[in-house]
Amino acid sequence: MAKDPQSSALQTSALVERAREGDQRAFEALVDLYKDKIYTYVSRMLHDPVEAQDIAQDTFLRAYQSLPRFRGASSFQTWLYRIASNLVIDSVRRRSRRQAGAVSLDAPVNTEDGELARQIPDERRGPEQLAESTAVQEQVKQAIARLSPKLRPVLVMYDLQGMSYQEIAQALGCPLGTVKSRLFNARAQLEELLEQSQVL
Amino acid sequence: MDCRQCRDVIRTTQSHERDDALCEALSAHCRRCPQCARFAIRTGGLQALLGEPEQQAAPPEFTRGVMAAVSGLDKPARTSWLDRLIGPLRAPAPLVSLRQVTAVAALVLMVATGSLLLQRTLGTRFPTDSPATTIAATTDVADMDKAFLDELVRRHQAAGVVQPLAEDEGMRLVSYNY
Repeated sequence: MAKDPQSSALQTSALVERAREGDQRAFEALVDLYKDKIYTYVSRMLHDPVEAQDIAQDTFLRAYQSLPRFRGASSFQTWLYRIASNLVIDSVRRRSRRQAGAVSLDAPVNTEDGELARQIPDERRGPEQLAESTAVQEQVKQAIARLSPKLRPVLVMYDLQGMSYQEIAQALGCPLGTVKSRLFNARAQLEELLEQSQVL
Repeated sequence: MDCRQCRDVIRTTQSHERDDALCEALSAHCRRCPQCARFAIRTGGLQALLGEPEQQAAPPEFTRGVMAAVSGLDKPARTSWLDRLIGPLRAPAPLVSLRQVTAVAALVLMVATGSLLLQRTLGTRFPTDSPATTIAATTDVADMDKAFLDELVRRHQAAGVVQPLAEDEGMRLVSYNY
């Protein structure tokens, strides 16, 4: 049976108030209420389950530290999504910087015995996983992960998380019209990426 | 599942309304049919393409990890005694921001100051050599009739006087030029 949205909102409100006063059990209840949604959102954004767990947990940690500043202008869920989106953007930027500073894997390694070819462990998956990894779902997820940082959250929030335009606008801090245009562009870019990888 | 069935399901149901079997069927069809896959993307049916549940479960130790990190922090800053006192009376969110209020207040202050300065300037000074200055009279003018005024002006005009005059029978002329 679907939960009554109004009673859920009241329950969340009460838990938030108690958590603001320092009640950690109330905050734990909030984590249990929203952990699946936030984890799902972050893992769809990053396409990396390990990093997704770290970011999702960090989201709640930041929320706990910022609780005194939460004044209820948006819903608690939207506020969490906002924190998660900012952390995801930071993570993507860090990742881009790491890749920019990468060294050549073909460069030899200097040792006492002279130069040796660099040996990299083969981390490719076995034949079964390889077949699985080429499945359409995997390519779609990779394509989503390749969307630009501005377009990706809108697509994930609307098409996969089921959020409304208003909630997305509040979470991302942009106008309603911008959400709609980004969604349109995101879908077009996704289609293009899937055509390039010959999924479509 | 054929294309028509696939598109009907995508159009008429939302992702949380589809069970696992239906999700898998949609996904399987979209994998084989690029046109339906495109349709799914364009109409917000991306979930059908992914074929996974709308919501994934967080890892089992997730909450424990969060609370362990929280316990390691200082407690969140408690609200001050003033917040506790007026907290229930405070509106949940201000209608306008502090920045907006400050900007409006500054604008009002500027307009008021400007009006005051303008008023003082116009009320006390007239250029003595301007070609069309007015005669500033005291309230006593109200008591004098027009003929008397005209006579005074005529006399001073004849004398070529352009400086402010001394008081003359209760009337004070600032300056004039005809």
